[in-house]
Amino acid sequence: MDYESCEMLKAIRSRHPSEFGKACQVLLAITCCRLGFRNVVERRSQGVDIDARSHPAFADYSFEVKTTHSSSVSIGTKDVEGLEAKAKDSFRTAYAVLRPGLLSDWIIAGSKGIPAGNIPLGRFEARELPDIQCQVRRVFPHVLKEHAAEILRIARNEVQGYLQKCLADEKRKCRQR
Amino acid sequence: MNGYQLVKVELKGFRGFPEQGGTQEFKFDEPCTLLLGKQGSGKSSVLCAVEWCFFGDRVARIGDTGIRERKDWLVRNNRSRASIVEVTLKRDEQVLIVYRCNRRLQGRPRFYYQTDGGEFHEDESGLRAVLGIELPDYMSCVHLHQEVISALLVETPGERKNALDRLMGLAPLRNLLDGIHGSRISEQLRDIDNQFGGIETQLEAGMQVKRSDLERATKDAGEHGIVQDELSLGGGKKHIGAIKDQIQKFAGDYGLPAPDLPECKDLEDMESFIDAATAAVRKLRNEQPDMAHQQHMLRRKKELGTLKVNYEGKKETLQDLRTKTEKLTNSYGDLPELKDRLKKVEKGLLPEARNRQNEISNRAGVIREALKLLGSPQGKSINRCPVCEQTISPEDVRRHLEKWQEEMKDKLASTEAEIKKLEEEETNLKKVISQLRQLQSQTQIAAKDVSESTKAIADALKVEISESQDPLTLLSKGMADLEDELEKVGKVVEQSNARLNSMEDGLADVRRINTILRIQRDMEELSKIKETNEYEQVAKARKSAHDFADLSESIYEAVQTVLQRNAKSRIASTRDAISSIFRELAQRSDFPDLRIDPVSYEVIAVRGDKSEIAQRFLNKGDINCAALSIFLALATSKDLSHNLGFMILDDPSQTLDSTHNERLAGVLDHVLGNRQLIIATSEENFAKELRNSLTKKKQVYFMRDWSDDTGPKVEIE
Repeated sequence: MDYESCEMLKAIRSRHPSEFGKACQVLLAITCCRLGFRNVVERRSQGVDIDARSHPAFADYSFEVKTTHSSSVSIGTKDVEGLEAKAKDSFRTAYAVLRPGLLSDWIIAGSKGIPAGNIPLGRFEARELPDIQCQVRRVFPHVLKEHAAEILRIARNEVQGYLQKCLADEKRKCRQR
Repeated sequence: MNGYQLVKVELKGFRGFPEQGGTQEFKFDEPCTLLLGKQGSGKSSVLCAVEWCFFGDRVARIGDTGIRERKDWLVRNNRSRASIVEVTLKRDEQVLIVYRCNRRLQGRPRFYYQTDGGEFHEDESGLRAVLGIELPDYMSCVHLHQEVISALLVETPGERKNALDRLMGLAPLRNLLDGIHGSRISEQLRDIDNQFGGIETQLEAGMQVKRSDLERATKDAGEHGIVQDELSLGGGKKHIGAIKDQIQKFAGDYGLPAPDLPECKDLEDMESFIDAATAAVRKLRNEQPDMAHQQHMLRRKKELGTLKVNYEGKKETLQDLRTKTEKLTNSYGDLPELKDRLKKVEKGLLPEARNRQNEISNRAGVIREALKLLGSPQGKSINRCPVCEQTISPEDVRRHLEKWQEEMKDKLASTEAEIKKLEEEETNLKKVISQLRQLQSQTQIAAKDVSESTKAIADALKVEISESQDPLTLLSKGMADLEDELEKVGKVVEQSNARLNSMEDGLADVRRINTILRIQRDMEELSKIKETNEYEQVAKARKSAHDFADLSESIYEAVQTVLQRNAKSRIASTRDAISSIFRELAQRSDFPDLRIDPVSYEVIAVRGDKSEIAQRFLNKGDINCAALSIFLALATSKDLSHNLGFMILDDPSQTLDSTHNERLAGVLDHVLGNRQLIIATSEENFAKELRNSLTKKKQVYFMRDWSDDTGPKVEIE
């Protein structure tokens, strides 16, 4: 990840530590819209975090988003079960793992075979989905750059409202396209 | 279709059967065969020979069997060259012969199997396919080893679990899990990740430092009037172009050769340009004509200043000497006068005074002698002068003499005082004369120095200085003229220096831009570290490690799943059978039932809703019953299909009392309904029970008197 993006993510995490994971999730959902998924559903509470469908080239994806600042991620049984249920609905299921760092970036990894527990990042890397991962890594910094300044400016309780509005705008633009 | 029945076992050189004892043959013609004999009589060797013949050296490995006693387990009898075992089996009308030797003998393969006298098959897996069984299942449901029963009696939960694994035929899977777990892959990976994280931390720290440097350099540039737009290669080039023009024009204005400055295309060129231009400006500064003139005049100013100081010093010295001379002369007179006076003192006054002193001293001596004579007894009679022969009065004479003596003393004292005074004067005169002479000499030298200084001033000013002229005045005038000229030249030099300073300021700005561009480039390079070969190699190695770990983790999870499924499946399929056999064997009123808990993987004794880990309260006999129940349930389970129609029990009655023996014999009689049985025991009671309870025909081998050379003596009842 480029230095600027890394610094922006660290600044957001420092300013809104409790909102960081969810903020990254919405930013990833916006990224999915930009990538050309015409139907993107982002969930704040129940269910798998993001469903991204109707892309001219990519399959329908269901993402469980995880952020970490260590070298592992905690996967819950609910995450595994949620993705398994999505897989039965013909989604390609994946974990989207973000660790802000100069040598780190989004890992989009197939969820099959990853059990619940504390999973090292390397295990996700071994199952990365290069096509979608490459696109996410390419577009995400632009999305982040567009919204970082505002996220850093506003108060903690305004972050989700702001990002949801941005996502709604993005979905509308996506539909218009 | 029935399973294979054991027909015959021939063995030589295998464990307890030495080569020298010849080939031993055991026939299993009846539904039940009993091998009876004391401990160490070779019963287990016969039974293990079948196992070795089927599965080879795997049976001698702890990893494959899970039996601790199999560590360093010898296949070949240590007095024999080769171990040979041949097992004959029969299924319906088909005869299967399996042969194994630990080395090739007489062209025969080391292993083969043959069906109905047909061709030799040497593939081991082919035999296992024919028999329909692998070693773990063979050990869990065909051949009950005495070690497995004893292992279930141990107290350590881990070992009990292993024993249960062996009973359930799951030991190899458990070994695989233990192997993966023991390889500490996750710890190694953590180390790799930590080291990799260290690289990232260092990189981020490096970036932070560069970021601080950039902020500082940008601030510095801003303070020097460099605007943001100029902080680029283009901005730097623009500055360089302006500086180049200034340098060329300056050189042209002063008629100096135009410096050769490098072109600036990239950041590296910029640095070269700064160095070359700095040197060029320095050279122009040194070589500009006004500067050289100014330098010359400054040197002359310094020279005249030195002459002035020098002249003043010399002049002051001369004046000082003259003052001292005048002071001495005023006090003591001039040198000739002093010399005359010294001569007078030395030659006249002082000798004269000394003569007078001598004369007085002589007279005083005569008077002293005369008074001495007059004072003597002889003197009192003297009445005539010994010199002039005139009549004298000694008394008068004595009085006169004493009077004279007093006068002499006064004269001598005054003369001595005079001499002392003259001597002091002489010394003083000599000192003053010496001082005057020295001053005279010094004055001459000083006067010469002043003259030389004057000449030097005249040379420096390039004028003739007459006696009447004051060199200092002339010098001061010259210096004043020089100052005027210096002021004029200084102004010219100041103007040219201002141009040169401006060039240097411009170069300093270029250096600031260069510094910023370099930091930006360093940051860019740092952020592109992922694109370097070194990083790619490290990342590739790390990914390989993680891929391997993922694979091993996947294998681990898969094996664990298979293990759990197998365990659950076997537990489920044998649950009733285990309970039934245990009820019959143990007949406990408190906990009559037995089951295996699929979660805790423990043997549990059950009564209604109550349950307890069997090992905690069952006695050794009951636990033996539990092991036998599990084995017999698995061996007779219809869910576990293989093609062997026999069952081997090695010392199954260990730790059982006579009641249990009787019950076990009863249970085995049921087993005989669909399995051929081969039972080895060293216990006479159990042997007796078997003879009585087993309702089918029996063949009995007695093995006794085992010796190192010949092995056991085998007799058929």
